[in-house]
Amino acid sequence: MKLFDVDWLDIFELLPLWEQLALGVRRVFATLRSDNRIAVSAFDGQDQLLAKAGLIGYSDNLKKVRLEKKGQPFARVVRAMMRHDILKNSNIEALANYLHDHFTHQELYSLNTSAIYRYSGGSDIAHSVISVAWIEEILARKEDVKKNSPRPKTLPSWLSFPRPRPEIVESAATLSVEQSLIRHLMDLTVPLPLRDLKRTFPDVAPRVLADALLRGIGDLAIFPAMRMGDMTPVLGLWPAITQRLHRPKAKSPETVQPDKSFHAAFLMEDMTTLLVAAASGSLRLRGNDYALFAKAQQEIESNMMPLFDWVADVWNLRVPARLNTAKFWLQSMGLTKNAGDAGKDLRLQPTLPGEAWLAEPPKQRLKKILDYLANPTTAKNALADSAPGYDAYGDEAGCGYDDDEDDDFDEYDDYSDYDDYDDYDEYDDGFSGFDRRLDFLPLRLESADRKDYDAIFRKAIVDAFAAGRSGEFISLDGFLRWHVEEKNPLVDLFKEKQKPRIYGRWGYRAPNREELDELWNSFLTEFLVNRLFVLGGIQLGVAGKSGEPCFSLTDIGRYLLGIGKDFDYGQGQADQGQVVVQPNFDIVFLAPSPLAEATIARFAERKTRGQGTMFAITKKSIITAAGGGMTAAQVLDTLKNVSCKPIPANVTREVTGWFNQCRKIQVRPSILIHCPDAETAARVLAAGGKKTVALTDTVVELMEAKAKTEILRKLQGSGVFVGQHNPHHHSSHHLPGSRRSLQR
Amino acid sequence: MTTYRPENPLIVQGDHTVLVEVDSPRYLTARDELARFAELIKSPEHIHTYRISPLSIWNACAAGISADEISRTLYEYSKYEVPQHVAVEIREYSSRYGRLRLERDGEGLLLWAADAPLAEEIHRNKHVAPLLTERLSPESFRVDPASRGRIKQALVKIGFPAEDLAGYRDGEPLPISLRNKALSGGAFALRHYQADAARIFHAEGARRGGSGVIVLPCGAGKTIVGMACMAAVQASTLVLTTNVTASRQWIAELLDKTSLQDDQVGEYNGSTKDVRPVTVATYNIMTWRPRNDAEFAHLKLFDERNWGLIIYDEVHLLPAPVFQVTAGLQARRRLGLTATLVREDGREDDVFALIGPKKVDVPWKVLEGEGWIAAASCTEIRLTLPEELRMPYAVAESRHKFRMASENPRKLAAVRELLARHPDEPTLIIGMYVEQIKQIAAELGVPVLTGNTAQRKRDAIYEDFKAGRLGVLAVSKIANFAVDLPDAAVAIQISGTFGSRQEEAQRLGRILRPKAGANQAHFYSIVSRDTVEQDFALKRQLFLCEQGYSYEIRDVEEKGNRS
Repeated sequence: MKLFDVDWLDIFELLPLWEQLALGVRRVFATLRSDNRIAVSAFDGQDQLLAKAGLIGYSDNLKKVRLEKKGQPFARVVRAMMRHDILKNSNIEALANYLHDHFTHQELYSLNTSAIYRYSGGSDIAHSVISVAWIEEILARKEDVKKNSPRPKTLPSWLSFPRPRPEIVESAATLSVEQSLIRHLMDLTVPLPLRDLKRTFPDVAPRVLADALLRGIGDLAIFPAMRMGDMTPVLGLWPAITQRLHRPKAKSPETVQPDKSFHAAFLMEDMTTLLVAAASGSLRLRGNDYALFAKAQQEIESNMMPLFDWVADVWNLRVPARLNTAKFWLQSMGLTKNAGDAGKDLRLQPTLPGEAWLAEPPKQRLKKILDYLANPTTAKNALADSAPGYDAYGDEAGCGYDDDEDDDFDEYDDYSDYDDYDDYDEYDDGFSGFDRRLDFLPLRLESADRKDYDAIFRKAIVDAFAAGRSGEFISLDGFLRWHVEEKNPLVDLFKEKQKPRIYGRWGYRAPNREELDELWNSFLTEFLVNRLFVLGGIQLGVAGKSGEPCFSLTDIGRYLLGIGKDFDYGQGQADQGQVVVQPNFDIVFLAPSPLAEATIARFAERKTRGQGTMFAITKKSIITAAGGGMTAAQVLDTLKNVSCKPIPANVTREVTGWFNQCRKIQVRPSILIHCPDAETAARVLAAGGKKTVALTDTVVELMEAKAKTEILRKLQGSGVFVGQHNPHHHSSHHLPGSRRSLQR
Repeated sequence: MTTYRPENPLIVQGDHTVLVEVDSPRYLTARDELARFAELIKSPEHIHTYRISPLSIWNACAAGISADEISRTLYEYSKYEVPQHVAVEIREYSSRYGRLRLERDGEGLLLWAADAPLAEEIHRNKHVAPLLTERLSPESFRVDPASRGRIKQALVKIGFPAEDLAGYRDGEPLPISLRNKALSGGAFALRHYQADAARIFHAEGARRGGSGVIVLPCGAGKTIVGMACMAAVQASTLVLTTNVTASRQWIAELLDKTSLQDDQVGEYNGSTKDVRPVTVATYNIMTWRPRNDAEFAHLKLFDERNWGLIIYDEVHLLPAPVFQVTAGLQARRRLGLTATLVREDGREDDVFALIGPKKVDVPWKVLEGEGWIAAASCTEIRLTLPEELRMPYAVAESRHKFRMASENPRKLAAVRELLARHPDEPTLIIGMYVEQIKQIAAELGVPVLTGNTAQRKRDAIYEDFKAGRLGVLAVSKIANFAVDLPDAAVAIQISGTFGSRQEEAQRLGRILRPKAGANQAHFYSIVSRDTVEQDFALKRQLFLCEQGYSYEIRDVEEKGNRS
């Protein structure tokens, strides 16, 4: 040990003097070092007490105070207690800093049972130390294992701490007192003032008590700290352990009555919004990172379904992160592709299945996502089947373009943006080896035995969420605590003899109970947020004055979990009665209705947000929607669905008319062969067979560019040769009779 | 947390517009309150839109409404909390009105500021300073009476409208009274809203009355309100109208319904220059000049008599030179009459400064509901271009496409069908292109009025139409303004001026006078489908919908419409 490596008996003896000092003087003393001087006046007349104890001395002119050698250990301990305010800040990082400041590499190395310490620099030890199991192991010691254990492994010289380690009396007596002290601290909910230590153990000799304390500190079971408010030295277990020991037992989650609630498959709506923008053909991507350009991103974000602040706050679901997620899902499901070359004209475009998906009504769109999650491989094929001519794993048939399909998934190999949702937990400090993917389970554990635990986790997830009664809201916190603490399937899994080791930051290792709780909490929360909530699988609510989050499983959630056969979505879901479609094509929201807003944004121009005249249907907006695959029936159904008044006849008429004006054309490259006369054209047609078609008497179209060489060879063989290209003969009115392109 | 009161009808938006839910149980009271300080922008079927602007607030202030009253009304009837900045800006706008006052003392005109800093601010303003002749005290200035209008204009533009309390010249006295029985026969009495409008305008001769604008829909009897105001003022009057036809209608009405005699009413236009105690002139003659750089020769009419009242008919069309002259006529009482305050040139603030604040505004639908104007149904009839015209249309230059679509020969059959549908109702066929309207009139055998039709012939045709001897009349765009055709019940628009909303309002106005029986008017527009004409018609459709009229679209090619 470094800073606490003192004879605590000396500290005990100085505590009465410390108690006599005023609060301000204690603080001044804590700043006194062997190399600085402090004005006598700062001690507020109590310098005499310290001087008498030999802790401080005076300068020659008696105006300054210096720290005497005798006072140095005490001052060092005081400062060390203040160094890490672990009572206030007790996260893993604080513990890692504590270990670094107070322990030598050798000491930590000897404490650590795994071989990864050399690489982890103490962070893995920190994960062990915060576990109740750590102190339980110390309490279970029957004899002085330290005495019998082999000496610490020898570290390389650069890792060795040069100072000689003081002799700790390693005896059965100190072990017993250390265990008693730990047990006493386990009973306390707040740290024990150091001054009460002797009084708490009156029968223990001070020498033994001091040694036991030093030993407890060395075993990383007892942590000395300074209570900053009154500058009182205290002892305690690591705060997380105390908290865990004294937490009330988790109860089965109770039902609550939400004050307000929210329900929408907004991820599906976000995906739709993005795909609509992509369908317009103008959604360019940056060549360096495949991200959207800022302007396009802002435009799309402005059309995304707004979430109420209280909803977004629960899991920090902000719009930019939502857009990234939508992009990731679309790409993963094969609904979009990157067309063009990076650096040239890279664009995000819908695939044929994407276009087919977009043309579906909302419920079907959502259903396809849910089916995809249930079984990605089967669902991907089904999506492809919905778009005739599309090969799910290859090119779009008949398209003839090289769209760089290989690029599609490359940029998601390391999809860091997807972490934007993860502000609510810190499990990454423990196990960073989650495999994120678009599957039923949002996470996958990378275990050392490479065994697939998905089936186990999937069943556990279904069991956990299916337990709730239909339509009843339960407390989110209560749900998580109950399932993490009382129903954690990982506990049994890790009780097996061959404990699976999980990939942590520094390699595979077996997690402790706290980490298992953290892991299962992450599984449940991830599934709750990134599967159920975003797809409307739960209705989120807040209850009580503190706005405690609660939720209720919906039919969509049951469908996703495989315990429901069907669900309703899109009809009557959009806060009916709050939206008015006016004869002048304005759409007025009498009250905020996010779902209706997101749906209408697909085919109407936005004017404002919140409530009021929020959209106007225009010819341009309808044509854009048509380009995105919408139909007149879909638009009118949506309007009927959301509007509390009948849709004005003129609106219906115009919308239908505008849709009817839309046509779809196909653009494909081809080669025109200009012949000098009809007879030559006939010979070209004969050579080209089915790959050629006559456009006029003298112009033949070669439909497959790839066949050009072969046909030219055939033509050459029959005496038809290619002449010089004359651009003036490209226009259609020059086609008949042109004698330039191919000459006999 | 935001309070939501669904039973209330208003949604106050951050851009100062106010949406009003017509189906709310509190709609009627909220509308009446709101109309006092906000301008109605559009009134489609379910939700109406009003706008609160500095001018609307100053109009309200001129009518004695305080900022607190305005805010209270908004809070009282709003579904949601009123955006805080809107309430602040209402207070701010309101506080500006009345901080400057124009008054008269024995020596002339005074401009008073509420405090010295404001006086200093306007004194340093480069547009206002030249109009201040002398500083009398830290808060007051002497103003040349000739600059009374211009200084009001300048002050409105810098956001500090002056309250004009300088009073008016009485003008040359002229006894006028309204008849109980019109000369043409039949009882005559002011309708309640007409009497209210005249009373509010005159304000019993007080200095706060006597100048301002009355907004009434077409067909609501603005001429009658003008005559009632003349009767209240009892002074010689100059009436400015949009054209000769309108002038003659005014004269006819004055002689028919007031005590004025022939020799008291003069006509002043291109052909006649007769200045009498009541003179009816046209904007055209007032702004006529022999050359572009010459003086306006007839503006002197404003000074030829000691007018006690000047009436500006269709004030939203007031031409710029008349504004200039009006700026010098601020000592005379001024009345603006219009169906809309919205001007194409955006000079609403000049109307406010020079004519006066809005005094009365009665929405169309209110009068329709009370039966004072006819209910109108609007129908757009769509038909395709004949096959032989489709290719010429497709390859035509953009500027020619509108005319080609407008002159679709298939429209004739559609007109015939509509005439057959309304055999006994007086019908106007209105078109933009003279050749087209003449051709259709010839095919149908009905008389046609264009800009070239002699006035005498026009008057005769009008007379026949009014008397019911003529059932159908074809007119070019001359029918847009102030043609009084009281018995027209059906209007068939075969071509329009692109998407002109103003034109649409005027054309619709031709058929809004109350009808016997069902009091129902029909307004048809015939449009070539899938052409630019349809795109322009959409703008007119939007306008009519925003005025609250139901709008039906029929396609003659569709099943059920062929018969």
